[in-house]
Amino acid sequence: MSDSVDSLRDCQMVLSRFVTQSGFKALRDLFDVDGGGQRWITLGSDERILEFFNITSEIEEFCDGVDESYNEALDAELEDSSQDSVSFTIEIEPIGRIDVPESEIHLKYTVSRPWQIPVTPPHELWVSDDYMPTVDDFGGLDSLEDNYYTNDRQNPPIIYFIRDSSDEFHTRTIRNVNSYTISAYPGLLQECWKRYVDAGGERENTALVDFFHNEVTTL
Amino acid sequence: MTGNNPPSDVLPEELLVLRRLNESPNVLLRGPPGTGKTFTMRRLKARLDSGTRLFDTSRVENPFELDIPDFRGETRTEWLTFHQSTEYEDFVLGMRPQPSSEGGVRLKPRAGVLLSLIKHVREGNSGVIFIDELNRANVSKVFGEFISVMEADKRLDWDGNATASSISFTLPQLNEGDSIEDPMSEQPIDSFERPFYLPRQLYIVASMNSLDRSTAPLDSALARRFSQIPFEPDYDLLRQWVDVEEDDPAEWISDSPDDTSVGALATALLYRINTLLSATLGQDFQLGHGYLDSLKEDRSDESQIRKLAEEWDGRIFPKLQELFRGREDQLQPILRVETNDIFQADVLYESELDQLGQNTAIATASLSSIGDNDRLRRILWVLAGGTD
Repeated sequence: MSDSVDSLRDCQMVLSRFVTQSGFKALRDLFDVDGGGQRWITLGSDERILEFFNITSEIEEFCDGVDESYNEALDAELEDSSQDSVSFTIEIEPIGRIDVPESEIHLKYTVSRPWQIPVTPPHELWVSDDYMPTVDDFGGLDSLEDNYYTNDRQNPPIIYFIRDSSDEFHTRTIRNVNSYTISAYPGLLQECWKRYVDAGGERENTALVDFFHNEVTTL
Repeated sequence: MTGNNPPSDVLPEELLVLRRLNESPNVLLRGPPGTGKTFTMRRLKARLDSGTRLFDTSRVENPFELDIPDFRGETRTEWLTFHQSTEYEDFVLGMRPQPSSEGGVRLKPRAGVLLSLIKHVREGNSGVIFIDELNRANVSKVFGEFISVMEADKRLDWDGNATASSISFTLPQLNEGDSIEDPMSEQPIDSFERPFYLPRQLYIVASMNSLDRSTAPLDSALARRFSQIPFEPDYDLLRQWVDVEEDDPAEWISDSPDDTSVGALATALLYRINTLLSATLGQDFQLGHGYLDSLKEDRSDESQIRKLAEEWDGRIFPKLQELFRGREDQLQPILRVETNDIFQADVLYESELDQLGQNTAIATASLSSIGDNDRLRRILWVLAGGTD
C-alpha cells in the first residue's frame, strides 16, 4: 500500500473556457498598449459561474442582500456607489510537480457586462509555452485576429478550473484540444469539450461539468 | 445517489482497489479481521456515491489520469453482506408467486441486485456491488451461472460490444417476453436483449477474512476469478492513531513500564501477538490494527491504559482463545506463562506477577477489573514483550 495519495482530491465540478484568439492575445499581452485591447478572459454572464466560484455570499454581502439576480443586484449597487466594477478574489492551489506556487485570480464584474478574469498578470500556467500554444503556433502575430467569440484553430487551447470537495480551486490547461488529448479525461469532460469542437467553436465556449449531478452545461 | 461529499482524504487502499478495478472488474480484499477491508469498501462506496472524480493536484497535465475506471454516467452502488441465508434469488433472479388473472398462482420473476445493476449499466451508467463477508454464503450457489461469465474477457468490452471471448448466459427461469420486477427501480426490466452478457462497467468489490474457521474456504474456481488484494495489520496506521513516532519495533518497549507510552505498549502488544501467531498458525491468523481502533480517540494516559485493558479483555483475548481452542498450550508463549491452566486468570496473572518478582493474586479473569493502573500497565508491558 505504498502509493502516495496525499496529493489526491475529489473534484466536484469543472468550469472550462476555450481560449479565443483575442483571449490568447490578452494572455500574451499582444494587444497594442494604446489600443485599448482586452486584458482579460471573458467568462460570460451566467450566474452559475458565481456559484461555481463560491462567491455568491460575498456578492450578497457586497450588495447588502440579493433578491433574485446577482448581476442585477451588482448593477444596482455599482450604480448607487458610482463604482465601475467590483472584483472578487479566488485562491488558486499550487501545483506540486512543476512547482507553481499558490496564487490568486480575480473575478471582475463591470456594470452590464459579462464576468471577466483580468490577466494582468495571467496565471503562470496560462502563459507557459509548455502548456499553452505560442504565437508561432498561431502562425505568428499577424495571423491573430481580434476575434472575441471564436477560435479558428482546429485544436483550440483551453483553460479550466477544478473545484474540489473542500471548495478549493485549481487551474489547468490543455494545449490542443482534440480527441487524442482529451481521451484520458473523465467521460463527462470529454463530452463537454467535444461539443465545443464539433460546434466549430462558436460563441458559447464556457462550460460547466457537474460531477455531483452528472451534468454538462454550456454557459 | 450523488451529491454527498466524499471522505475528505483518500486512503492508499482505496486507490489500490480503484486501480485494480481498471484491470479487473472483480476485486477481492482478503486478510485477517480488523485489517480495514470493510472500512476501505465503505469509504469507496461513499466516494462513488458522491459522484466526484479523483484528481492529482500535483499533476499539471491531465490531473485526472490515475489509471482508475472512469465510472461513466451515474454510478449506482449496492452493498450486500453475505450470510448463510443469502441465496441466488437475492443476487441474480428470484421467482415470486403472484395471483394470476385465471385465479391460480403464477411465478413472477424478480431481479436480484446483479440483474438490476446490469440494467442500470446497459443504460449508459456504471454499477458497483460491494459484498462484505463473501465466503459466509454458499458463493457458488449464490452466483450461479454468473461465475462463468464474470471475468473481464468473458464480458462485453468497454464499448459494450461482444468480443470473440465474450460468453453469454441464459436464465432458464425466464420465458420470452417476461417482465422482470426490479425492487431497486420503479421500472420493471422488460427490454433485456437475450442472451445476456455482463457489461464491463459493472464492478464487484468483495471482502473476506483470509482464514475464518467459522466459514468454508472460498471455492477455488471463484477465487481465481477475483483479483485479490491482501490486507495486513498496519502498524504505521496504528502508530498514527496512538501517537508513536518510532517505527522500529525494537524501540517500542522500554526497560520499564513507566517509560513506555500506552501507544507504544499497544503497538508492541499487537506486534508481539502477531509475530507469535504468524509463527504458530500462519500470517492469515494475525489480528488487524482495527482491534485497537478505539485507542485513536484522544484520552488521558490513565484512561488510555484502561481502554487497552478493555480491548484485551473484550476483543484480543477472546480471539486468542478461539484461535487456540483445543491446543491451549500454544498460548503459553503469547501469554508468557508456564502453566497449562491458562484460562484460570488468577493463575495466569499471578504467574505473570510472580515472574516479575511480585506476589499479588488477582481474583478475576478481567484485566479491566484491576484497579491499580501501575499494576495493569506492568502486566500489559509484560504481555507486549517487556522484560526487567
